[in-house]
Amino acid sequence: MKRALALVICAVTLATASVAFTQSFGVQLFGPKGPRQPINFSHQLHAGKLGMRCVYCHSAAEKSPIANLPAMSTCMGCHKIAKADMPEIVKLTGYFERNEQVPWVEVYVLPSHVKFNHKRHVKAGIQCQDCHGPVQTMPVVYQYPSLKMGWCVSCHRQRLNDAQHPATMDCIACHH
Amino acid sequence: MSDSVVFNRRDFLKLVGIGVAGAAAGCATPKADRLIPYLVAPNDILPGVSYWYASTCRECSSGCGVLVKAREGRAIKIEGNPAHPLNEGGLCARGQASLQGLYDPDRVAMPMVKQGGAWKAISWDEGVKLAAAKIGAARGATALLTDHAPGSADALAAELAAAAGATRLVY
Repeated sequence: MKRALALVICAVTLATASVAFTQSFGVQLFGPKGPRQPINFSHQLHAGKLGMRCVYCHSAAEKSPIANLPAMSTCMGCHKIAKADMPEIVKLTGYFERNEQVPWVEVYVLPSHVKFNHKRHVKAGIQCQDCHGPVQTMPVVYQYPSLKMGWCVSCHRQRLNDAQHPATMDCIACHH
Repeated sequence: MSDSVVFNRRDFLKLVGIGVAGAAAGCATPKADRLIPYLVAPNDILPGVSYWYASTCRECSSGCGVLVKAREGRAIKIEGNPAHPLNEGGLCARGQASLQGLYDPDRVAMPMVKQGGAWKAISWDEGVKLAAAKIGAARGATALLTDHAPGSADALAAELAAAAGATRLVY
């Protein structure tokens, strides 16, 4: 009897610990992948169904090291009129009219001590989806690649002898 | 019933409690970072790209030429301007550190009035009203003390001093 009780308590402890552990590195056990955002924005709708180009909103991706989030005025450019009565758009309009920025939750977390340059990769003809996955099918965007060094290097290795844009294997290209 | 349980019930429960608390505390999810967009994007700023502005150091009366590196509209580094005849690219420690003055949390950012030996922040309306009253009362017996203000700021200081009937002092 005691033994059975001990086993049950041990099992419960282990289960709690493993849930806590998986949660600690952002693995969600239930529900959609990716963090819950303050506004339920869907890439599946905008980039997929409506076929908007990525750089319509992330306009700095081909011009800057970072692919920016669109300014809220870009959202309002359409949503001042389009679907203005939908609950999520009402939320957006509320933020905008209060002069508050939407506190979007960061999805892609680059490891420390490494730099990534969007412009270089876009200019070399890498498609957004090559790294970010099929964003146009994601209702909630999640971090698609691991962003670990092995993942970067595997692609750089394949393109070492690319005729137009040979990839570098120089350490300092990323760790500078 | 077997007696093969190695520790007694109380100790066992204590250990389990410590284990759960440890797992929960040690593995608590770190708070996710937030990405804050522009409300209205400025036309001349590209996020992630630095812009360099030529300016003049105001830390002493020398006025060395500086280049200010700015990201997303915020100054982040100051260097000497190599094309400036006075400092030819050099910049002293004080000039380098002037960025610290810009973001100093103790920087005076609003009008303050001394009450019973302590400084108290007041609104701009109150401050302007108070200054106007004091300057008006002491007409002719006031002085405006500034550093070597550049260009239009100098003209503004001179006009202000003239309008208040004050002596202009420059250090």
